[in-house]
Amino acid sequence: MTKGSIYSEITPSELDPIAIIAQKYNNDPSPKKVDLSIGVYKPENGDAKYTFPSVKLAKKDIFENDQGHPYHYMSGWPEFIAGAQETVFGKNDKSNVTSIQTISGTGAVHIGIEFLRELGLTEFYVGNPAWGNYESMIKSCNSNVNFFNHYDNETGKADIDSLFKTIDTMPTDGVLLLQGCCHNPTGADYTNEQWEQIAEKVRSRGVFVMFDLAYQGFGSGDKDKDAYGVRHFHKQNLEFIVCESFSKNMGLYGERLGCLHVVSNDKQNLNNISNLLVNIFRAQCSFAPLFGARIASNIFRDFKQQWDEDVYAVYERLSDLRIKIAEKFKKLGTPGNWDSILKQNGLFWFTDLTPQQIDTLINEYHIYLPYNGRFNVAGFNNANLDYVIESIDEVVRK
Amino acid sequence: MLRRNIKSTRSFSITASLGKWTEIPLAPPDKILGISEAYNKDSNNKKINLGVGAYRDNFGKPIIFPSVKKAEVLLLEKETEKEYTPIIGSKNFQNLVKNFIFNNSGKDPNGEKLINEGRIVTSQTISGTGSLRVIADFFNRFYSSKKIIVPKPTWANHIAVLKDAGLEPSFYEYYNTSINGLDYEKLIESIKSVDNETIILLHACCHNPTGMDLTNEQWDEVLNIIIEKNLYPMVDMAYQGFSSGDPYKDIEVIRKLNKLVVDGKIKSYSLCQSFAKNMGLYGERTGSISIITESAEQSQSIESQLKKLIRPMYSSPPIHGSKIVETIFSNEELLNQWLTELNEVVGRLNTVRTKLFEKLDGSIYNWDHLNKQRGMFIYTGLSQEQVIKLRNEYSVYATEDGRFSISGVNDDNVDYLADAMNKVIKESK
Ligand SMILES: Cc1ncc(COP(=O)(O)O)c(C=O)c1O
Ligand SMILES: Cc1ncc(COP(=O)(O)O)c(C=O)c1O
Repeated sequence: MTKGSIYSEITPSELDPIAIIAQKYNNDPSPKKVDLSIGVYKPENGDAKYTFPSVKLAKKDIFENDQGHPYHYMSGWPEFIAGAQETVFGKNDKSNVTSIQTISGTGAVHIGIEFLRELGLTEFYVGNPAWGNYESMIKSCNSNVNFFNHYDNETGKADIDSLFKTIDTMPTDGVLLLQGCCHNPTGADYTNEQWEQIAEKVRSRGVFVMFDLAYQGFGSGDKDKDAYGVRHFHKQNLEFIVCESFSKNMGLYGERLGCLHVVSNDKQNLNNISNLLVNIFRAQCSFAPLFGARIASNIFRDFKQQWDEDVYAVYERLSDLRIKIAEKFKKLGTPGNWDSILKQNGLFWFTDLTPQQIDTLINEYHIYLPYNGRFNVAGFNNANLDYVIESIDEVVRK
Repeated sequence: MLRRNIKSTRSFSITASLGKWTEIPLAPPDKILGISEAYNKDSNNKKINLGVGAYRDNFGKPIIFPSVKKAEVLLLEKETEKEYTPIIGSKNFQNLVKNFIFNNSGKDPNGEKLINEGRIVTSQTISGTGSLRVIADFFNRFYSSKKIIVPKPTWANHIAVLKDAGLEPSFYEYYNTSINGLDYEKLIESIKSVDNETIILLHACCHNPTGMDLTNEQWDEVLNIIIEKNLYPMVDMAYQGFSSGDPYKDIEVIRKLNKLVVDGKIKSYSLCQSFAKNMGLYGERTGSISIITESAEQSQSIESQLKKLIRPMYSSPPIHGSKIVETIFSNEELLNQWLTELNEVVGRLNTVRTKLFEKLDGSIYNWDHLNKQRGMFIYTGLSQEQVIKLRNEYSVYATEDGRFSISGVNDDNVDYLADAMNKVIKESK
């Protein structure tokens, strides 16, 4: 080694944009400040530490019947895997599915990308705007990312034509990365009919689909309904993978609970696929964390109905807020079209506010959201809703 | 290897939309899990499982450290799953871990100085495996050499983790099974023969699988070669506390490295660390990496690059285990309780080790090495055939390299085990 530094090439990498907003919010002393940025569910009282009642019950049970913290299986905690499959595939025959527990949804997407790379699939097609992490995730596995337009600003809905065109023209060894429901950041999802059309086109082109399912249940209040796209693909005997996260729909964020499901038409080969997944995972983590898996297993076994109700309650609150927001805009007569709030699903509301307008909201009104114009609907509550919408109204009129 | 094979042998067919992955070859199943499976199926009521790398008490049961349970009681009401921790774990976790390891909770002035000068970057990771993986990825991106040497033999997963991250692992001599001991001369020779700047993986204590560690003097000599050849020390510490029963005593090599950094003899080193064994947090996946840097300014760059590396892999680490660690480390009473419990665990391992030694027939095989080995394992020196014979004829299950996990031994089975071993040795004479 020559003199100087060992790590000479290292320069600071920039912060995640969401992290910058969060930092700014934390440093803002104003009592008026409102955080509508990071994608975490909050109840009416704004408690960022809200725990689902079903999770509380499950934790109490773990505590009373403590089974400790042993190493388990590299493919994951079996009861959890079974329940995760049930959540995604419902009553469908699951004998052609093999799964591995992952470090939440991010870990599922990551292992999914690595798995597909092993099969020679390295060209990813992602709807834009997209979850901020996809691009770096795909690139960090030495795969390539291509974008197509996901959102139609005019209608506030998913741009289905752009997707169809992409399926028609993408290389047949390309991978289409689709969010199963509650699209982040736009909240614009495909309808059931559109999923059927997508499946047809995917079959005829022979392209491969990777589903990302991070908000199952938040779209309709019903996890089964939200899984329509995935289950339809499954019934059509297509091969695909699903990346599932329990961060949002169990509120297990920090426990990092997720699962990667691989659907294969060659059942003989499921074992080999499972082995390959385990091998990839073993070289990165060995095992996935147990605590979250135990919580989920308890819920699947004993508190399923409570969980269904918890998820429905989230949906109900989000829908209620959407209606109130729309009414408020109507009352104010705010210039522009604000219907999108009613058309979109899930945690997010995607607006076409300009970066300058968002800058004003942040700096003059203490209202924090990322510069892509995405609001976390759950950050609204009866105490701040009028203030936020009135502020938007003022900013838009400026 | 496996993964390269897939890529090269697989000619991906565009038209094969069905059965796209029919060509995936079967990967070798995990050896230890295979042993556990066979063990579970065995109906002999004398069967012994010496495969697992996890602690068992004198009744063959896994334990929960009472201090860990207490921490969980405290957490039950307080802990919320809700928050994502920062990408590299909470500041509190980082600081407590740094203080515990590098400052030995107030006992290492050099480590303390490095901490105070902001020259240690710590990140929570997915246990020891995850820490190895992240540091390997980090080296692959930023270090001048991709070559890394690991002891022969070493933990079964080291090579896979390092290769998968794009590094080029090879072995340095470590242990000689024909003498059942460290091959110190060859070790020195082989370290001296590697390219300058090569990364060298060192087991901090309780070398896995041999249980044979370097003496103080031997460490000094190895460290001198590291300085001369400008090798990069990367320490793997999965068993802190399992050698002496005291986690502070077990990290002499960390103290030595801290001193070398403070004295300007080496610029940097890294530590991969796991709480799997010493807190019994196996399945919760709690560990850390620390990189000792050249300056506080460099620490900032390195920290930001670690975040950039981890974010696309898994976003942030799981909190349950790290909250337990934080709770124990920030409560003096709990900390002391845990230290006592850990000492008892290690005490039991050493007691059964001695018992087994006493019952083994020293006149037909020299078992002296058992008493020199430390940690969770004994590296018996038994041949593959002998291990298989123990399995088939005596229902004693161990990996075929002759490594026994001693925590599978207890008062009830030690006689049976010693007897089986004596017989197998005698029969192969
Ligand atoms: C679209 C999408 N996919 C995946 C994830 C993964 O989150 P986690 O790793 O917490 O499960 C998120 C989280 O925000 C997301 O929005
Ligand atoms: C030497 C060594 N390093 C690292 C590890 C990693 O273990 P974990 O990922 O469970 O912390 C082990 C586990 O057996 C080990 O023996």
